[in-house]
Amino acid sequence: MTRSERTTALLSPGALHLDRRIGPIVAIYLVIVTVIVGYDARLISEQRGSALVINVAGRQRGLAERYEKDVILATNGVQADPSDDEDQLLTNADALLHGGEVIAVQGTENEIWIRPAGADPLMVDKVAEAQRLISELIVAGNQLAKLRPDDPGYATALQDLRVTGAQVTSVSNDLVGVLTERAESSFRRLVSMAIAVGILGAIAAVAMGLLIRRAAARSVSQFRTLVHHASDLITVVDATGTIVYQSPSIQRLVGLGPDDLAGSNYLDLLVEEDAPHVRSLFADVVAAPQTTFTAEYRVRHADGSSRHVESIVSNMIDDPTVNGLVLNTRDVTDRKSLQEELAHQAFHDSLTDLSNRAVFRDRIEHALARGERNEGRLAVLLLDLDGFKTVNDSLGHDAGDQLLIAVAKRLQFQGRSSDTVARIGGDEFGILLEDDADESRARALADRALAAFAVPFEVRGREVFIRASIGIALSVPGHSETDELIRNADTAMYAAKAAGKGRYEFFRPFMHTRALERFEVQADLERALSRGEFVVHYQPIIDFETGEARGVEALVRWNHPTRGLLGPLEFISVAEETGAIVPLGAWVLGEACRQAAAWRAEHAAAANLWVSVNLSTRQLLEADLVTQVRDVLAASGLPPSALTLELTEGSLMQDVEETVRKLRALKDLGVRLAIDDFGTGSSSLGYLQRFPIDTLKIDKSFVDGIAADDSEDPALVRAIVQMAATLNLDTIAEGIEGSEQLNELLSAGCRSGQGYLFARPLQADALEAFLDTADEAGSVDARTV
Amino acid sequence: MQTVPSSEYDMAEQQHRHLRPLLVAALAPVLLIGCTGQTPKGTPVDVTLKDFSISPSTQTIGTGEVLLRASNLAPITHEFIVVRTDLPADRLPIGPDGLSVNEDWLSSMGEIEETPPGWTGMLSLTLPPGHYVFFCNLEGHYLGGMHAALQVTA
Repeated sequence: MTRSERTTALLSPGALHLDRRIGPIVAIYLVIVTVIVGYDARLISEQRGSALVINVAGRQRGLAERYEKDVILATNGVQADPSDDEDQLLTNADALLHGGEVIAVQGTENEIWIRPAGADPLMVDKVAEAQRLISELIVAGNQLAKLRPDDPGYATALQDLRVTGAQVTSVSNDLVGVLTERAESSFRRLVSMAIAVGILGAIAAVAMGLLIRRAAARSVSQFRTLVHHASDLITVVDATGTIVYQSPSIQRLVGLGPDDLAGSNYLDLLVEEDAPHVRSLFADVVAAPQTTFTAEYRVRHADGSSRHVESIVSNMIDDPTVNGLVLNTRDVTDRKSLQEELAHQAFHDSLTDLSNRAVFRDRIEHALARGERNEGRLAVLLLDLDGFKTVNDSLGHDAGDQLLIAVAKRLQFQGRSSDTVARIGGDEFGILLEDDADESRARALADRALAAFAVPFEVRGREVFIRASIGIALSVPGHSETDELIRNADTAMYAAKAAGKGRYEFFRPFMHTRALERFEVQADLERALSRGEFVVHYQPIIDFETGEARGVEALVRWNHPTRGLLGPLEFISVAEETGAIVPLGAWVLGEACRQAAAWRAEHAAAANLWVSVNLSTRQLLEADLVTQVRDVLAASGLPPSALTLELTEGSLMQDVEETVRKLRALKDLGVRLAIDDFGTGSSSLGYLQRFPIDTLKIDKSFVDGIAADDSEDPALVRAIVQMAATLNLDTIAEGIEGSEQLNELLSAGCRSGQGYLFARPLQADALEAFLDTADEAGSVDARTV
Repeated sequence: MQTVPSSEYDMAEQQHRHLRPLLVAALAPVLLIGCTGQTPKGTPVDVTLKDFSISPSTQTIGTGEVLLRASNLAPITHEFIVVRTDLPADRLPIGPDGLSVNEDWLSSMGEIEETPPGWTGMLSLTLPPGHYVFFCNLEGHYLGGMHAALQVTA
């Protein structure tokens, strides 16, 4: 049942309840009346039979009297023939007893069929007696007929005839009397029955009336309750919109009650702009009787607000109980806002409220279409946070979400209002530069975007440094497609990451090849560890004074099945992104410790050799790092003091407090700690003081320039070494390739280092040979300086 | 009620049982004797009414209260009239119609006006010593033989 049908049903109260009870009442009444009428019909039929018997009995009496008279007349010489009477008396008497045909009325031809008296035991005795007496009468008649008035015995025979005739009359009277009484009784019963039928009819009518009244009252009260409490409004208006009936729930909607609205025009309740629409709708409904229309419009509340409603309008003008248009109205404001909310959600990212990927694509598509017409170019910037996964893993997803929201806010301020900033997914954002975008505008925007990351983000009361890599793709008018642009920007973004992160790159066609290689690396990395494709090479770290190797730095290489031996640049960044760095780093650590312990045990020259192992940011964030290191040391038998863990400045800055805690625990084990690539990061020496560091490894870039005349590097290196000495830190120079560099380092006060000048990273057996040779040669110094 | 009839009276009663409601109304005056608390008293004399005879169970009875119980075994209704007369039962005066007794000439002791077939009428009388005649005075019935005498002795 639709809403309007329900309303129609409600407007015809009681219809549903009546059938059920009136049915049995009518049925019982009909059954009783049928029984009574049937009984009456039987009585009447019986009485009809009785009436015929009475008729014949009366006739017998008449016949007996005529017979008597005829006999007497005949004996007195008057012409009279009693034999006809005799025949009729006997025929009738037989018919009365056994049933049959008699002539009804003297002198007429009407015949009457009499039922046998045998059907009525009381009658049998009487009519048998009547028959007997008629026979006696005829005997007496015949006796008398033989005599003449003068004959002796005539008087006696006459007396006999008369007495017998009286007896016949008496029996007939008796018969008639009984039948008459019976007829009276039947009549009384018929009257009683008729009265009973009348009374029953009256009772049934009253009962039905009461039921109808009760059902109607109940339905009306149900209707009233429903209408009063229904969330739907029910309004009846005339053709012009004047309110004829209004249910009370209108109060909630417009702040006015039904009494306030009586007689006013429904259209006056509407928001002005919507009134003409509803007015014309009313006209449509009036023009089409028995139809239903649906309309959505707004009504004004007395407090000035407005609500969205939906009305089903039914034309019930032809219905005499309604005689108007019925509006079944529902407040759909919440549904409307939900729809709007859903529409918003469909186009916006729920976390940052930026446009979502779908909208971003859509905007690109439209911009491309426009660009085709006016030769305009557009630029797509894809920005991916560097190390966001680390933040998520270390500080939790809520913190990650907060960071994304903060990043979104900063990005929004960088573009023009016509630019679209969107969250593409995860930690990836997109910026669409429309309207004559060119490389310089894109560059400017990318610079601004990167600059937005210079200031740390505050997440849960902590300062989080994070950077971003940006890939930029410019459209070629008439030749670019959406997917292609996004893919190119994505490729450029990976190129930016590969090139060191925290920077932007424009898409160049060769990047595709590099990107493909990257994908291959990612896929192969998954299997490489289990297949034992990694190897560890060792680069000696030389004591400048003795020329001997103080220690070795363990460096991982990938013995790729098709591409040959790959250096860390080719796969470490991918491994860091995918998280494969964690098991790989653990393997390198275990392998290096095992190897170092073996050398210390087996080679005299290596008795005090230590090994230095790089620790990635991801590994540093592992909750059980300290346990892992302790277990590895225990398993390999390497003394903790013979293990140095190298960390980058960047990894130290991720979560300073937690890092300090872990480093202290490692120190407690007896492990030594070094800062790798020192000088390239943004950390100050003062900041580093917070960490329990033993060694600074001076980055190759400083060493490269140390021998040049116009360089500031010698001074820098000297400052670093002096400052390290002040802080009681050891220094190791990296990437020493020439003897001039070594000399400068020596004069700067640096006491040890590594580089091709001494040895490239070597396979384990080659390193053994190196150790042995060095041992035999006495000192490296002697050979190289 | 399917009891085996134990007498002629019972049989008649059985046969006409279904008429009882109808006849109750007609017999109300007679039956009232039994209904008003005055239990019919007296020496019972059973009288049988037939077409056309009256047969008392006795022809002589001592004076005092007599309870006459007239059972109609005939198929038609009969009267039962009691008169005190010295006339023989078959010599009662006939009226001008020549068919019934002229009751004006007789002193009636009491009567049961109508006893339908199968019914028994009760009549309680105090009868001084004398000669009494019972008869039915429907036309032709007395002359047909419905009369009997009862001698009440001191």
